[in-house]
Order: sequence, then C-alpha cells, then structure tokens
Amino acid sequence: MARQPDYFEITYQAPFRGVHSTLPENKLPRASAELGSPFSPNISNFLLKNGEIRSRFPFSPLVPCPVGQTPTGVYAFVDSNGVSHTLLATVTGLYQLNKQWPQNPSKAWNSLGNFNTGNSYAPAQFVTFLYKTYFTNGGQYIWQWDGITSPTSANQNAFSPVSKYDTTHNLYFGAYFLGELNYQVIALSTVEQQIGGGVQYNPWQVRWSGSGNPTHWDPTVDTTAGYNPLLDVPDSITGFITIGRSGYIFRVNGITEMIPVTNGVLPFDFNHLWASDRGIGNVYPYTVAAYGPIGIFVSNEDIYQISTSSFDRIGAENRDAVIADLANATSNPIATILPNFGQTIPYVFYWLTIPMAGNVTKIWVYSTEDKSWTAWTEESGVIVGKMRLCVTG
Amino acid sequence: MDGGCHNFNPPGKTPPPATASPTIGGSPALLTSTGGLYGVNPLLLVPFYNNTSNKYSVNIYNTNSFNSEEDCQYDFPVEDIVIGRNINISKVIIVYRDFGKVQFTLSCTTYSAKLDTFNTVSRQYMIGGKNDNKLHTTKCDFVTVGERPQLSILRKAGQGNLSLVSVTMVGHSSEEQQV
Repeated sequence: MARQPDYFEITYQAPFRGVHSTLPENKLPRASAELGSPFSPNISNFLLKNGEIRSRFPFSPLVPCPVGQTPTGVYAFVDSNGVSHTLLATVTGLYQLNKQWPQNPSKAWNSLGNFNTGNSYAPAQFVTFLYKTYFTNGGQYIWQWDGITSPTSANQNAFSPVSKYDTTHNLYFGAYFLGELNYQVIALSTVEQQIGGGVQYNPWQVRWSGSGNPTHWDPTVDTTAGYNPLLDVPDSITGFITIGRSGYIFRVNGITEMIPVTNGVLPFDFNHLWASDRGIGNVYPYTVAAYGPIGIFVSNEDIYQISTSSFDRIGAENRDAVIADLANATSNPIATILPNFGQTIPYVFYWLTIPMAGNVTKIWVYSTEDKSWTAWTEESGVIVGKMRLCVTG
Repeated sequence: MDGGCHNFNPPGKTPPPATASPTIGGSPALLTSTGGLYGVNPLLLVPFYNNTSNKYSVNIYNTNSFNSEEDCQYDFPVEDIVIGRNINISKVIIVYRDFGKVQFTLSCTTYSAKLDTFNTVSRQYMIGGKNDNKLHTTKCDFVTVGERPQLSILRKAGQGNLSLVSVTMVGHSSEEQQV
C-alpha cells in the first residue's frame, strides 16, 4: 500500500548560535523537536545581532599609510598635556595621525622618526606608562615617546631608546612582547645587543624595568629592575597579558603566573601553572588577547578563555574549523578582544584574523556573551596588525 | 622553535644602535604637545594590505551599515526528513527585519541516491524597502525534489542589509522510496 505524503515544516529561528563544525551537517543539535538547528555548518560574513543573522559591516579604507611603508600596528595614548595621539608603527618608523587628515588623507601621517635598526615585520607592541608611550617591535630597542618631543634637524627621532640593560657596555635590548605590571614595564622574548656587536635572541627571557621608572633596565644601576630567564621550563615565550594583579606569561606548552610581591629587589614570584614538555599553552604569538578580567589564547588543540578564577575551552562547536584555518595561515595570525564594534554593537568579541593563501584574510569572531563563532572573510587583502580603538578627531 | 610553535618572525642580525636620544628640557607640562588630536571620534582602526593595489591603509568597519562589501553566505543544516525517501519542497517562508531593499539568492541542495548526485536549485529574491526596522514576512515559492534538503542563502557583495529572524522550509515527503 502506498504511503501517504507527509507534510512537514522545519523552522530555523533566532536566537541563532553560529557555526558548528564538529558534527556532521545533518546531525547538528536542534533547539527542540519542532525546530531546526540554530547552528550552521557554514557561515561567511554574517554576524549574530540580537540572535538574528545579519550581514556584517562594510570594511573600507579610512586613510592610506605613508607611501612605501608597511604598517605593523596602531595605538593611541594621551600625553601629560591631555592631548591624544594616534600612532602608526611601520616596519621602519613611527608616525602620528594629524588633525588635517580628513581634508588631506594622503598626508594624514606625520613622521616621528625612524627605527634605524633594520626591518622588523613583527607586530609592534605598545604600553602607556605615566603619560608616555613605550613601544618595541622585535628589534634591538624599547623606545619612549612623550607626545611632546618633536623631531628636529639635529635629531630626526622624536622618540628615544630607553632599554639600556648594560650601562657599562652601553648595550640595549628590544622585545617581541610588552606589558605593564606593578608600576613596571615588562618586556618578554628579548633581542639583546652583545659585547663586540651583534644581537642574541632570548625567547625565554623576561625583563622588568625599575619600579616606576621604565627608562631604567640595568639591575646594577636600579636594583628594582631585573630579569628572569625562564630556563626551568622547556619552551619559549609567545605572549603576555595581565588580569587583575597578576601577569600571565604564555609559553608554547604552558602558562607562567607572574605575581607582584614587592616593589624592591626580586619584585615578582614566577609560578609555572604547568612546566611539562607538552601542555596547554599559546602556540601562535599575537593570538593572546585580554579584556578586563578575561584573556583568550589558542593552544594546539583548542581555544581557551582564562580568568583569575576560571579556565575554559571555548572552541566548543567550532574548534575543528578554527584550528584547521590556523594550520593554513601564511603569516602571523593576530587577535584582539574588542569591547564593542560601535555603540550599536556593545558585545565583547574575540577577533582572530588569519592570513590565508592568495593574500586574503579569514576572520573568526567569537562572542564571549552568547559563546558563538561566526566567520568573516576579506578577499581584498590581509589584516597586518591588531585592531585598536583610536581617536581620530 | 619548540614543538608546535608558529613564530613567523624570528629576529635576524640587525644593524648597530641608533643615534643619541633627545632630551626634554624643563617640565613637560610647560611644553606644548607635538601634533595630536582632541580625543574624540574613536574608531576601530585596522592596518590592512590591499592585494589589488598592493598598498597599505588603515581601515575601519562602518558599524552604521550591514551592507558588507563581501559576499555573505549562510548554510542551514542538512535535513534527514525521511531516510531514503524523496522530499518535495514547495515554499520557504522568511521573517526578516527591514533595513531597506536587499537582494539575495535562496538555494536548496538535494541528494539523489539513484544517481548519487547533488542537485541545487536557486532563485533570486528582492525583499524590504520600507526601512522601518520592523519584522516583515515574505513567502518564497520554491520547487525542488530530492533527499536530504539543505537551504542556503547568499547575499552578494553590497546588495543590501540582510537580517533574518526565521526561515521555514515547507514541503512533504514522497510516497515512493528513493532506494
């Protein structure tokens, strides 16, 4: 006997939950027996807004970079006069956005000087301490600019190197990562000038400035400055964040807490959360990002969210796709946690950009609020630095 | 590097130190700033390399619009309505928020076990135009037959702000066994 036709309806409805790539596309979990799954096996350039799926914001140039310059980072700080500065670090120098940029975008950036240390394509790292900005780029120096000093004909650099770690031999160092903790600037994964010339890369080195004085790094001159080569763990440093009063040093296979204990000699206690030769760590430098009480990083097998009281896997339904894309990265993946995309989108996002073959960018966007992943693409090019909220007027 | 690390920029040998550092005379508070801004209009700035012009720029996302410059695609799950039986899809009902006119392509891919092939039927639709931010409903007439249907929505670059609240696939299963 012939079967009667069976009428059916399947409704997919808000709140949608983002990409699910860890189950077959016909086995995604449903919201209920009557409703279809709120997950999708594939999303491109949609975001979740109030649970709706919405085409994302358009991405377009604001200003061109200085001619011939490769940017490595943007940053903004307020100087001691209360004046704001929006900075652009490039491979060879530092620039600031001028007030006249809307009238003349091609001359938007004023040079503040050249690094004069060869090219470094590592993403620039900035911190602000007492109204001055300190920055480094994996080269031989940490520089300082106060927002006041101008380039002059005698000295074309408005900024100056401050990271002299050996006063006797006039030796400086630079770093791949920079932070601030306990009234001290922290530099990690250092590049140190050597007696007789040349530099040595110390991927396990942590240095801290004098207490309240980021221009003093030589412990024989200022005993509150110092260093600690993390030689008792088997791997190198890949990132640094601060949460609350603690610093977290990320290694390839582990995490080390850096806890302030004094403002004098030996100001920090270093506590390896684990020191095994294989373990959860941050494997991609520059994918560590922090926002207030949380930090997010990418390990070999998942994406993790860390806070002072929790440690959670957040790759969740989409771990496989993110890890697979990271494996195909053609250059540094870079991540930021955004407090919002604007006043209409006040959600906290972890924003992971991955350069892919063909000079295009894949972006994984994780909402910490509804714990969902969506994917964006930029077919027109590659994102080469951290996204930063900077003043433009 | 250590196992599993992906440091794409190991430092190389670099040239000798820079020149002497400039000094600030007197109290910085008595000196005027070099350049600078008033501190208004914060924007999320993104350093970007354009693969067509081979030029670098600082880009932004315009959060006042949802009309992205890239194609947007959302694939719904594959549905096992009745295993081994053909499914007839007759219409798709979409509830959307009206942010103005938007054009998109609705597709349904089905599987034929007899031929071991996939078949995709696509139709283009234009919805919206009131731009009132309210919820509206549209019915998309749609005819396709096959096993394990999967809906997909593609909005091409710059074709409008698309915001979907619900999508309902309506149909019935065939009397005949496919296999």
